[in-house]
Amino acid sequence: MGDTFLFFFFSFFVLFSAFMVIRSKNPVYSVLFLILVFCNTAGLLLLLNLDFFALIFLIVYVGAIAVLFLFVVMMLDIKLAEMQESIFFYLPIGGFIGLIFFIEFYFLFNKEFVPLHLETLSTGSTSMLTLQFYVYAFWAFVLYGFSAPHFAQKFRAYSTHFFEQLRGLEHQAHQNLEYVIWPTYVDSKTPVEALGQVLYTYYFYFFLVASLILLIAMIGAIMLTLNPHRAVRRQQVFEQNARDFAKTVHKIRTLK
Amino acid sequence: MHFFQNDFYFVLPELFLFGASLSLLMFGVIYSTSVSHGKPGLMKVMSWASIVCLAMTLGLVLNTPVHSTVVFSQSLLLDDLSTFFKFLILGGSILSILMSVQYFETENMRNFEYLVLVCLSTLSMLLLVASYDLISMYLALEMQSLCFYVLAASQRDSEFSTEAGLKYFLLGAFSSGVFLLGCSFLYGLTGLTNFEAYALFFAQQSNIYQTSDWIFVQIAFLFILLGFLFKLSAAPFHFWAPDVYEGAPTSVTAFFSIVPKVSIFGVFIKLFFCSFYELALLWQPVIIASGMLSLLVGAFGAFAQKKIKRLLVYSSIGHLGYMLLGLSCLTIEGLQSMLAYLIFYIVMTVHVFACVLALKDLKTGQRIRYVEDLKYLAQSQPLVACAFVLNFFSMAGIPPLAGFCAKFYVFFAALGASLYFFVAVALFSSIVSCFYYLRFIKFMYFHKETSVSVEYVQMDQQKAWMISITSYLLVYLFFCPTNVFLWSEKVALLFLN
Repeated sequence: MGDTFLFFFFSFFVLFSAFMVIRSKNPVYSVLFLILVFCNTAGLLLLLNLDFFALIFLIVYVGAIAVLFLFVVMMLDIKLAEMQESIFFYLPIGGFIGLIFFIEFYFLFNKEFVPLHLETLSTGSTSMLTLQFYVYAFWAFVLYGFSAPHFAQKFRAYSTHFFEQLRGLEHQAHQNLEYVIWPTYVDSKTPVEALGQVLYTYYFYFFLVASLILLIAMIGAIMLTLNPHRAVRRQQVFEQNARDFAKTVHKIRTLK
Repeated sequence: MHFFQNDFYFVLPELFLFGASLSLLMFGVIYSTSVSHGKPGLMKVMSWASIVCLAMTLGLVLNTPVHSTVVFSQSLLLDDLSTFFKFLILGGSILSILMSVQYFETENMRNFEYLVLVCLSTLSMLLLVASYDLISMYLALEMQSLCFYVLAASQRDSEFSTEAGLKYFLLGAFSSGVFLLGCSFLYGLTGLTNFEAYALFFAQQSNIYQTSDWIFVQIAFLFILLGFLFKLSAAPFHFWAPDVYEGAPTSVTAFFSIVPKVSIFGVFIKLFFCSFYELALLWQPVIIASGMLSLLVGAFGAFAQKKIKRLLVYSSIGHLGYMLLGLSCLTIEGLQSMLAYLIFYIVMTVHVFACVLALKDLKTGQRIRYVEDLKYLAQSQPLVACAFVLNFFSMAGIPPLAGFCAKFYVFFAALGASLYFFVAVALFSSIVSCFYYLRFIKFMYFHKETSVSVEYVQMDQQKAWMISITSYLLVYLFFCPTNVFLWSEKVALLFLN
């Protein structure tokens, strides 16, 4: 159940922050919510055992792209008033693209997932079954809505089948104490471990050269920006923050 | 567990250069900031130190006991071929630092990181010509380019230098991306990254022309070739070169024109002649087209140029065309002529940049920038003018000089491979390019006499030696090119193995 809870937790926050990205009035908040979307998506990827992808996702999207966005937003000085004008301005085209997206998912789920689930339910552990069930139920709710008779029928069949399976599994486990869950005996490695095992042994050369590239980037950045030999105008952070925008420009005297 | 115990002995030169560059960096960081030493400039010390480091690496490379071995789980191939290219790279780097020692002083450059970056980029080029895997090749290529972007922008008080660095960075990053896309296409198709594995794979897939994957193979090759030709600044992708080479400090321009050509050509030959030779009919037309365009651009693009550095860039694009002509023969003779041309090209480029770096007006402190500035050279410095003339005659391919030998041999090999049209284009552009080389000479010797005289800063000893030795070589290599040809033939024959 922990997995399920986490799945709902992350997906809820993904949807919530994605909504807030487009709805928040301050562009800086938008970007911060975007970072929250990426973090939660990384959590979802972790739930799927894609740990390497999750970390890369964080590094690339949060570490590089979102921070870049943040820089741009802070530099551009976008007026807040401009953002409020057009709430429904982009709705037609946005709605159209969203519709296409949902139609795609509709076909995907209708074609691929439903029969597959029903047939392959008997394999897999209990928690995975539950997770699958909730994922299915969630998408089913999004796509069909509970009112559609076609779906209701399918969903009923699916849920009865699911709970039967679940009961069967539990029953089996209680009756027969020598029940063995074979997947736990498989010696599996997470992707990060597997990558590390070759990257630090056979292919350590690549790792070493990559580190040299980073060193060069560092030397280059220092060489091109640091200038100890000349008087440089430094930023007075405190003064700059303490400055009041309204008082920056003074009117000294009025002309006759 | 000693996985790579012996491998580290084999890469001793690279390891040495790696350690030496880091020591140089530490030395510079500690001493340039030390108050008790008065924050010294360090450029002179560092340049001599880096020359010594590179020379010692060169000694290690030449005395390597390895003749052919694969190290680091097939990431690097160390053989006589890569030793040849390493020799050229290290020699070129040493000469390009040596000729700019005076330049650092007179231009008041104080960023010692410049020399660390030159050492590190030399290391990356050593790794590049030795690489035996797409991943190690890409990493070395990226390391090299990253050093170059910084070097191009290294003169921070000049807008041209900054522009050059930025332009080089943006276009170089783009071309790296395209190149990487081609590599990933190839990897996606074959699941291989090793050069040898590619050779075996394509040798067995003789009917790959008929499969539906053929279009992807074509796309992959197009992208990889595009990346390489861009890095070489060959003709359809040469637009960045004049701006970058002109904007960068002249010492960097000299380094750019001499050294990276060797490393890129080294890995290019290795990849295409060892791994993709079976698909030669696929990539030969691209090389031919690019070579012809380079020749024409080199010949006609230089007409409108008034600045010396820009003109030299166009001239080097033209030389590149001849080298691509040698490559596109797909024969041992073609390869040999191309390698010989590379050696002659290095000699000529070292010569011309040593001359250009030497000329600085004593009174105004201006460096010569325009071709017209050479007007008074024949009067004030007749020997340098004479060396210039010698070199431009050689570049134009006038007989009693080395350049003629190089061109002749390339034409000979190309005729042997029945590339008649290409040879006709090359001959035509060679004649056209004579015109702008002769324009230099016209400015130096045949302008109207004026009473104005210009005095130049005295040349330092290193450059004087360099110019005199390379001038000697320009003549000597015409009469006795045997050594160069034997050497390049030995290297070219290594491809048969």
